[in-house]
Amino acid sequence: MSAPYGRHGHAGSGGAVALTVFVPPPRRWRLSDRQVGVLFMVPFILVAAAFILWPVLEAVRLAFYSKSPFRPTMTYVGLDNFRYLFGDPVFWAALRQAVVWTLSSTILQSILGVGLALLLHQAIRGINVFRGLLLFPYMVPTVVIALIWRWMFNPEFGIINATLLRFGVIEKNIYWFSEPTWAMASVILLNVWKFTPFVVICVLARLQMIPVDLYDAARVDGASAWQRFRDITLPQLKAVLSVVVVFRTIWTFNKFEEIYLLTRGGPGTSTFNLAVYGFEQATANLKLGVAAATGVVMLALLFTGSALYLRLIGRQEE
Amino acid sequence: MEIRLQGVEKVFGRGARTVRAVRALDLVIPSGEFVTLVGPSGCGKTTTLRMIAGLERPTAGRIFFGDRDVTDWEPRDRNVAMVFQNYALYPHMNVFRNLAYGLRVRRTAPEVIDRQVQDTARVLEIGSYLDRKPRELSGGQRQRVALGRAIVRNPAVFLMDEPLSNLDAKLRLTTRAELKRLHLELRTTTVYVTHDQLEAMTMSDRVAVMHDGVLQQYDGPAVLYERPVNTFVAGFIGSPPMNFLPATVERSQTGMALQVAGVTVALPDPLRRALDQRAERRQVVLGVRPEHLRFQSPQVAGVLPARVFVVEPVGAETYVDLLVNGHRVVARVDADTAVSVDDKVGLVVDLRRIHLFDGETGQAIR
Repeated sequence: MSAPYGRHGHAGSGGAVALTVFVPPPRRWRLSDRQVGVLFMVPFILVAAAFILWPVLEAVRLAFYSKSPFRPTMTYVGLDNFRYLFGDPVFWAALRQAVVWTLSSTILQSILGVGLALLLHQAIRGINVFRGLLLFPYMVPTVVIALIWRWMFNPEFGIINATLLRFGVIEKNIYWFSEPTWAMASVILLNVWKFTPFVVICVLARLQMIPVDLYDAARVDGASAWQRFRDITLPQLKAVLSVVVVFRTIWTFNKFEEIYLLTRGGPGTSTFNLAVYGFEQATANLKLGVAAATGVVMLALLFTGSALYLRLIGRQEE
Repeated sequence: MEIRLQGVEKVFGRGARTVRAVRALDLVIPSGEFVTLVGPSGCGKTTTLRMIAGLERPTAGRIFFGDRDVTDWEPRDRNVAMVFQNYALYPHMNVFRNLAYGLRVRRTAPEVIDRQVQDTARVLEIGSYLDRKPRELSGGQRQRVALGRAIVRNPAVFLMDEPLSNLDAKLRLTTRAELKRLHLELRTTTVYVTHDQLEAMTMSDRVAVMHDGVLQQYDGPAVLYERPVNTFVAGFIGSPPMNFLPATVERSQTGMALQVAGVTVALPDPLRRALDQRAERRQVVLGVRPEHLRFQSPQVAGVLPARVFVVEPVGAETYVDLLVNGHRVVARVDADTAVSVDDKVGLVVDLRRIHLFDGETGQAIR
């Protein structure tokens, strides 16, 4: 395998040859670091443009057209789809329910998540088993979970009613999916169960990064356990919690499959959120334009909400 | 505030992984003194400090502050302040709030907090960055804030865990002097932990030398240097450290004599008397500080034959590493001493200043 080297200083004895081997390659082929960086990003940019940017732009365009899935044509209707939305009482109900569903889920997940993370942060023997178990709800596919929960929530022979009855919390069976309030509670419960581990993982990771010295310093300074939590743990968690809350809010607001698989949005439309509403507009009412307009409204709401929230958090940091 | 440790023990872990960090420690820290716990890492000095702070509970033994048994007290009830090695400043609070935190959780009136923080800031010259966050400060500034957080509460005891070890060499030197000056002004009982024997020697009223969880010697710096109780203390205190040479003690016509590196050396009276009471012939370790060695021509009778291994000039003086009968020995000589590598020289030991240690136990013979 001497051929590749032979081209530069051939033969002769080692030392002198070695010097000539490292002739820089011809100048015109050299790229700057910046150009190489751009080159590495090109595949991602192409994929993102094809599968994210373009569909989003298409959906926004569709919001201004009338389109049925069974006809190839589409008609420009201006703001008609939005007028239809804002005139539809079900849209407003779905928006209200979406807010209830999102806020309740996110708040419960955050509180439970921080609590569980603090618990799992303790140095107790065998705690790693529980840290591992925690991932379980997060790993199981939503379809499987929804099916299991449908059984658990079954009014006649579900484990939830059976347990509540046995412990005397309730006196007669709750018909979970037949009453609007209980149906909403059940989908929120499912969401909290499934996504609390996400909060726990984020918070636990941050907790483990807080220097133990800070707690020692606070103990010597005279802080009680509550004061140490309030003055050291919480401020240290603030950054991660604000990100977690934004993510959980966006994801929950957009969530479709949990509600649809558990209650199909029912009874009636009482567990519709905007995602389910949009889906129903597209599949049941065959109004693809209205469905797209719903998506645009969701996008606008989430965008404004996140921006405001992060601005607020950022200001508190100062 | 006088601090008294009585038979204090600390054991970490269980079963095979048990670590006995501190063993049967008795220590009295007199009120108003600057006492240093010094030793290599893992010797138990930081654990001892944390037990005094109340951050660790002793496995056995009692700790007294004055007459009160504080062994089971929380840190907050002990009225101590601590400076941590990494400063442990609250990263989300500015300097003012860092200083004020201990006062605030004790429900001090806001105007009192303000006054005390301003006073402390003036003493430590940190007043100009009270509204900055710790991450916006240099290492030296952080160190001052950590110190300020300790003194602002006017505690009964200062506890300092290697507070200078994260500073660069020059800053460490000036801060060391300032800390000592601060102690002279405040006269607050201070327990200081370091692995640096120089810090221990320069700052302390008393030094407790620890090794493997056991207190080796507790004395003033001068006594530690002049009369170390065993080879560990002798080798730990002083820089460059004391030289050790194996030797034997034998009875001669004139009384006990020392055989070292093939040379017989007469012993000074106090050592001879101490040895007379013991066994006939025994292995000992001869300890000589580098400054108690002089050079002579190797032909002179009674000198230790040595070869120069390396010469280390440090400016005001020169350290000469020598090989004596295969053992490394350092001599501390005037900077103008003319020696060079591989020279053969004769070493003269200042016999009035030698130390003898038992060959097996390492305990001083005196």
